[in-house]
Formats: sequence, C-alpha cells, structure tokens
Amino acid sequence: MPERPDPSILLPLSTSAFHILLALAEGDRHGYQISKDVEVETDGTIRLGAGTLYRLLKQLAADDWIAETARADAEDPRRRYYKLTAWGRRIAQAEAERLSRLVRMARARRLLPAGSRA
Amino acid sequence: MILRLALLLCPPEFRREYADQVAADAAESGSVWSTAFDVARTGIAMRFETLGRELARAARSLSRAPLFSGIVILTLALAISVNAAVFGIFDAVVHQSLPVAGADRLVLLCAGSCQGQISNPDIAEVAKSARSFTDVSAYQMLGQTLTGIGRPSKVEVGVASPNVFTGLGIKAEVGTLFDGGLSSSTDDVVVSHKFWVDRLGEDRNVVGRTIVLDDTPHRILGVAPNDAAFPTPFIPPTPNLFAVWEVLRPSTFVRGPGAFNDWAFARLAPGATIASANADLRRIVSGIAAEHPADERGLSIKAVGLRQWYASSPERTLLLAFFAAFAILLIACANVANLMLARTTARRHEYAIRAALGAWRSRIVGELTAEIVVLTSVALVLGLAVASFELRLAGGFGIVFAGVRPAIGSLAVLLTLAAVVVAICAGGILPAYFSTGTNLESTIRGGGRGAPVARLSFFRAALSVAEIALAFSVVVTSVLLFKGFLGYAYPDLGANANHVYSTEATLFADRYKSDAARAAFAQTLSKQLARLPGVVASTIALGTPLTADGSDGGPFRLIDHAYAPGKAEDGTLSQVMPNYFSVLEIPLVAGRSFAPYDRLGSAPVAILSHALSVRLFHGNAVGRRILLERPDKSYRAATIVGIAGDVHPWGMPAGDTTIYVPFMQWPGHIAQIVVRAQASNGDDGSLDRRVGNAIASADPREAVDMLFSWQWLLAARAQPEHTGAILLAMLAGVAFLLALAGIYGVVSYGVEQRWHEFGVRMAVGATPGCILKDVLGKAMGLALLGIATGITLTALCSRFIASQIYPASPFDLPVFVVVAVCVAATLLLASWIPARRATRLDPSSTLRYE
Repeated sequence: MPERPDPSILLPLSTSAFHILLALAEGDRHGYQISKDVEVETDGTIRLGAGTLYRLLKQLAADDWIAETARADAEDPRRRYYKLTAWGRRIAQAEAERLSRLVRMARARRLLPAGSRA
Repeated sequence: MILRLALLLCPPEFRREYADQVAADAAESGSVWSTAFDVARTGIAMRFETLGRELARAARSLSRAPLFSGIVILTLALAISVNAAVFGIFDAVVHQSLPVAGADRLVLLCAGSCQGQISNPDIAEVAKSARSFTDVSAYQMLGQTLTGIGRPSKVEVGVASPNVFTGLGIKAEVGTLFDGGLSSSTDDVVVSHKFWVDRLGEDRNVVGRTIVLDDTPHRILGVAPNDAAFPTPFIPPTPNLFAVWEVLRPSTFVRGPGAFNDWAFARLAPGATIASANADLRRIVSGIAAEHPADERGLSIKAVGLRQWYASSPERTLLLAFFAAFAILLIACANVANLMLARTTARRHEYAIRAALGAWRSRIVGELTAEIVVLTSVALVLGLAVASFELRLAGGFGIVFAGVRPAIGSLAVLLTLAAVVVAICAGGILPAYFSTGTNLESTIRGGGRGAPVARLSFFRAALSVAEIALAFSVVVTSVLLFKGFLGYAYPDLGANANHVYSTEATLFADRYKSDAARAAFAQTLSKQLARLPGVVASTIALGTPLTADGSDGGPFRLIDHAYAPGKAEDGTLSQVMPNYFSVLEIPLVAGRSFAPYDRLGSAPVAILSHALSVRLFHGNAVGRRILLERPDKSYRAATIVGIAGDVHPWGMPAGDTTIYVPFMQWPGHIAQIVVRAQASNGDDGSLDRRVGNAIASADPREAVDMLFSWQWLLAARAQPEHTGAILLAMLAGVAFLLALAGIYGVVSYGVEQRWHEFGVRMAVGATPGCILKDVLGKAMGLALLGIATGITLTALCSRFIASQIYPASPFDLPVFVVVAVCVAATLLLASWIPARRATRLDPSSTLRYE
C-alpha cells in the first residue's frame, strides 16, 4: 500500500462521487443498485445515467476509492459488485465531517433552525 | 442496437469493461433510449478528454525533440504554404470579378474552332431567332484614319451593334452611349476614356463635337467609362488602343468563312442555361446551313460562359501548378514520414517493451498520430501565414493572375485542410503503422536491431525511390514546360527583334495610282528615316516575321512544270528594301542581297528562304528562275539571286516559305516601317513622334499609326502564361530542393544506422575502401531505380506536356541528364559523408554506436 496523503486535500468531492461513496457505505452494490439508491436518497434530484455512473465508477476504481468484489449475481451474471475500500471510506468520512462542520456553522449563523435535520 | 451504437462512441477499454453492465442496467430500468443517450454523451466527453491528454502529451514529447519538431514543422509549413498559395490563386481566378456587370449570365458566341469570333450575318440570325438569349450584341475592330485632331492618325474603331453598351451593362462617363434603340445614328460615335483623355484633353463639353474618320464626319455622343473593358481577350494590336465605338453598318455584312470578325456576346434569358442555349444554337445553325449551303457548310456556333472563357487560359497553367504543389506536398510527406520512421526506429525498443507489457498497437500508433497532428497544426498556421505573405509579395511585384490579386480565402483554407489531412495520413499515420508492426520478440532480443530494422530499411529505401522518382518527374516536367514557355515568350524568329519598332503607312490607290508613285514614296521615306536621331537602322518592307499579314501575294509556279489553270505553289511574298536583311539581322546563306539597282524596269529578282530553296531546288537555287503571281493574276519570271536564313513568324517551327522580292520592283500598298532604335532609347514617345515626322515629311496626308515594339508584341502574347510559368518554375525549384534535402536526410540516416555493422566488419578486417564501395554501390542502385521510375513517370506526364498551349518537347536529353546527375550526386554525397566518418573512427567506438 502506498503512503496515503491526508484525504482533506481531495475535498470537496463532486456530489455524484460522494453519493456513490454513500451508497457503497451501506454495503456492496452493483451499478444499477447504486444509481437507484442515489435516486431514492436524493428524492430523484440526482439521477446517474449509465454512462455517467460507470465513468465515475471507473475513475473511482482507478483511484482505489472503491473496488470490485468477487461476488457474483445469481440472477444476472453480467452484474458486478463494488465495495468501498478503506481509503474510500476515509475520504467519505472526511467529506462528511467537512459537510457537518458547514452545517454547524450554518446553524450558528441561524441559517438553519437548531436541532433540525439538514 | 442503439445502446451498442452509443457504446461505440466510448473509448474501447471502457466499452470492454462496462458494456455488459450497461446493457444489464438498460434492461432492468427499461429505458434503453435515455441510457443510450447518457452513454453517448459520456463517451464523447471521454474521447475529448483522451484527445486533449494525448495532444498535450505529444506536445510535451515533441518539445523534448526540438530539432526533429523544427524540421518537420518547417518542411510541412513550406509544403502547406505552397499549396495554400496555389489554392489562393485558384480561388481568385474562380471568383474573379469580371469587368462586366452580371458576367455570370453573359456568354461569348463563337464560331468554328472558337477563336472567339463569329461572322456578322450569323449573329444577326442568332439575334433574330434565338430563344435562349436577350441582348445579343457584337462589335469588330477596324483601323480607320482620324483627321481633324492634330496630325492624321490611325485609330482602332470598334464597329458595334447599337445595344453593345446596354447588353454589357456599361454606363457613360460623359454624355450618353448608344441606347440600343433606333435613335442611334451611324454618324454617332462614343469615344473611349483613353481617347478622351489623350486626344480631347478631358473636355467635358465634348458631346456634339465632330471628329472625322476616314473622311466622314462623326458626332461624339459620349465617353465610355475607364473600366469599360470590352471582353476582348485578344492581344490589342497596339499598346495604346484608341477605341471609338460606332453603330454597326449594314454594309459590313459579309457571309461565309473568313468573315469571322466579330466579338459577339449575349445575355442568357431567364431560365436558360448554357446547355439549353447551345441546343438552341444548334437548331439555328442547321437553319443557316440549309439556307446558305455554299457559304455556311460546316458552320458551328457555341456559347461559352464568359467566366469560363476568361479562366480557361490560366486554368491550364493552374492545373499544372496544382500538380506541382501536390507533388511538393507528397515529397514533404515522404520527408516527414522518413523522419518519423527514424524517430520510431530510435524508440523501437521502448515500443517493443510497452507492447510486451500489454500496450495496444493502436495506442502506440495513436500516440504517434497525436504527435503528427500537433506538428501539422503548427505547420498549418505557419504555412497559411507564409502563404498570405507569399501572395502579398507576389502582388507587390505586380504578379497578378488573370487580372486578379489572389489572397487566402475560405476555399483556399478548405483545400489546404484537405492537403493537411493528406500530410497527416501519409507523413504520420502510415509510417507509425509500419514501424510499430514489427516482431516484438526479435526487437527485444536483438537489442533493437535485426529483422525489424531490415524491414524498416526496406520501407525507407522504397520511400527514397518514390521520392527520387517524384522529384525527378516534377522537376523534369516543370523544366520542360518552362523551356517551352521561354521558347514561346522569346521565340527564335530567325531575325533579331531587340529594340525593333514598326508601324505602317497605307498607300491608298486613289493617291498612289502607279507603282512608280509608291516606289518614289518608299524611296523618299527611306531617306527621311535614315536621318532620324536615335535610330540605328531602318527599312521598309511588307511582310515581316511579326507582321506577316498584309502581304500582297505569294502563289508562284516553277518553270518547266505544268499546272492546271488556277493552281500554283504556296509561298509567302515579302517585299523588302535592300537593307532589310542587314537591319533585321537575317543571314544570307548564299548569293547576294538586293541592291539599289534592283528597281522598277530592271530585271526581276528574288531571294528564297533556305527551307524553300531546299524544297524546290535542293539548295542550289541561285541563278534559277521562278514565276511569281502578280496582283492581276499574271505571272512574271524572276531570277533567284540569293538564299536567306529561315524566319519563323511568331516562332512557328514550320518550314519557311518566304519569297523576298525588292520593294522597289513590287511596291506594296502598305509600307511597313521597321526601325531598330538605340538601346538607350526610352519609351517616352519621342521615337514615335520622330518616325511620325519622317512619314509626314514624305507625305503630309499619310495617317500615322502607333509605333509598336516587337519585344512588347511578343511579351503581350505570352502575358497570360507568364505568371503561371514563373510560378511553375518556382514550384519546381521548391520541389527539387525539398526532395534533395529529404533524400540526403534519409540516405545519410540509413548509412548511420549501419555504423555498428561497419564497426564489426572493420574489426574483422574489412578495409575502409571495401565499406565505401558497398555503401556507394547501394546508393547508386537506389538512384538508378529512382531515376528509372522517374523517367517512366515523366513519360506518362509527357502526353500532358504535349497538350499545352505552347509547344514543349516531351523529351530533352540535357534536362534529363542534369536532373539525374543532381539526384545521383546528392545520393552519393549522402552515403559517402557518414560512411567516411564511420571508417575514420576507431572500430570500438562504432561498435558501441547505437
């Protein structure tokens, strides 16, 4: 494993990338499941088309944020599953912390009611 | 299906990895179209990203090889600039603005072989019954004598149909022009702008003034504008053309062959095309031929678009320039391809290792392609800039094509881009493909040498042979054409035309009733001319190498030979004063020249041209007699006293059939005055004035024509071809230098590649002489093969050369030899220099040479 830098230099993440990481944080998913999850989580405001999705997945895999698992799909052998790597998890955590810091600041400036859901 | 198409837009590695999953997703979501759209969009974005990365990488890699990049860019820029300049000229000629309004709907009507002219009654018939034309107009040029303004002078009069100005859309500068209606009177004239300035002093109250032409008074109606360039592509008979336009007179109607004197134009009627107009003309022509079977048999009239007519002459030279420019592009591509090969050969080890590690050949070719694209793009910008500079330079030197100043336009840029695509394919992709397709294993095992090198060197040798052949044929063809042009522009007249001027005086029968009167005029005029300052020599003649027309006869018969009535031999009669031969520097081959005692009443004498004397008397003509036809059709015997060297009117190579007779024995109705001026004599018109004075002092009633220079006449005839020929010569020069540089580079590089081998051979005892012999032998082989191919290629081109307007010999040994020697010398030098360096080095260092 090469020496990992501080993940904060990679922040902020693009919305799509962060959502993919969020979806995979819940467990292993194949491509279509990821896009469905993202769509549901964002109430349909973010839809990842197949091209966009796989281009991102390819990039994330190349950067070792995610990895393909060995798991095979029983229904459709074409399916491939992806998981979050440890490095990917650290990045996702860093991004989440960054966002929560932003939320705290917004509350302090009364942009958000205290205790409400962001 | 649609998904598969969308996936094709994606880079191959993405496609391989994700095609299945994308298909599965599309199947599960059920929205194939939206999936496909997204895939396509992403695919294109990824492609652009890759392209940008590739180009940036290529630019970085090239910046590390500045010499290679510089040479490639300069070579390509040179070729591109040449092509762009030629395209620019082509663009300008195609889109040139003609000096006539609505020129695109104007056609020239011409009869027979389409020298441009047509006979009067035929035009009248066309005007009457053609449905495809509106405004059929015509004019013809006549020489008339102008009196009443200064000394009597000859003017060129365009005798025109009343609608000639309206038909061509020309408006008056002062007063009015013929309006095409019945109000036009045959006594009205319109003067040209130049006539108005030179003769009438730009008098704005000129309308209504009277001028006298051939003793008939004419009223000036108006002045034609300065740019009223009537579409006459012919060479004006004098440098100063005074045109007075006059309504066509019915009395000038002549029918039949030989009556083709008119320039006729018509405007296409709405809806008519040139093809439909020609069909219409065929119908009319068959009607005319049926009505006048005796005079009009074989008549044909064609309509030619004015634009096409104007462009036809430069088009031919342009076509040649196109070929030459394209050849330059190919030669440049060959040079670049060779450089690319050299670069990939040097890096083949790297490529082999990368290929072994799983890099696709298409990826390596792609990288090399990116490099050539970067280089060509830089070369394109540079080339276009240089081309517009070249054209501006050409414009600065007054070089114009068909009267237009070329510039780089959109068509030129488009065509240049096409040329660039050729350069990228031939100079980059092809060699990249060839050089990477080697056997990887042997490359690695051979430490970068071995079988692939042999294959590459074969490819390089083939390229060299192709380059030599191409350069040889382009250069030889161009040089032959240029020689042909020079022969056309500066023909061998058989006489010396330098500083020769001529003019003529018409000896009208009503004033000069007898031979004696005309002879006396010639005698007096000769004496006056001999006294002129600034004139080296002068003579009087009728029928000279550049003014052959107007001669009074020519048919002759041989004594002791039976002829049917009305039959005779063909000859060209030339009536000359005794000093004619010495003034024009026509050599006397045998016998004597004419003498002052050969005059009216003395025994008739003649001098034959050498070719005629050989044909008739096997060269022994002196002392023989021939029968010459007199104007009254009777024959008079004349003794041949001499044989003159052949003259070639306008450089015609055909056998000279001139029979010279003394002007004093055969005084002509026209006296052509020929003077050789001092070289220092400027074209300030003073010579004109002095000769005019001499004629006036011989007979004050005599109209004085313009004096024109023979050198000017020859230059004016060659003018349309002039720029093209020079362009072609320059292109040939560029092609030759580029090819020689390329051949040198390729061959010397090939020899350097063998240094290691030389080292081995010298280490085992080969002498330097041995190695030099081997290298030079191979170079000689390449040269011979290339030149042989070049000769074959040239032979194929020679058919094209033969079809050119000026005669060019398709085979010229000195030209072939000189070009071949240059090519062979370059090859030998390119082999000898690196081979010699290798043999002088210590074998151990050449052994280490990679």
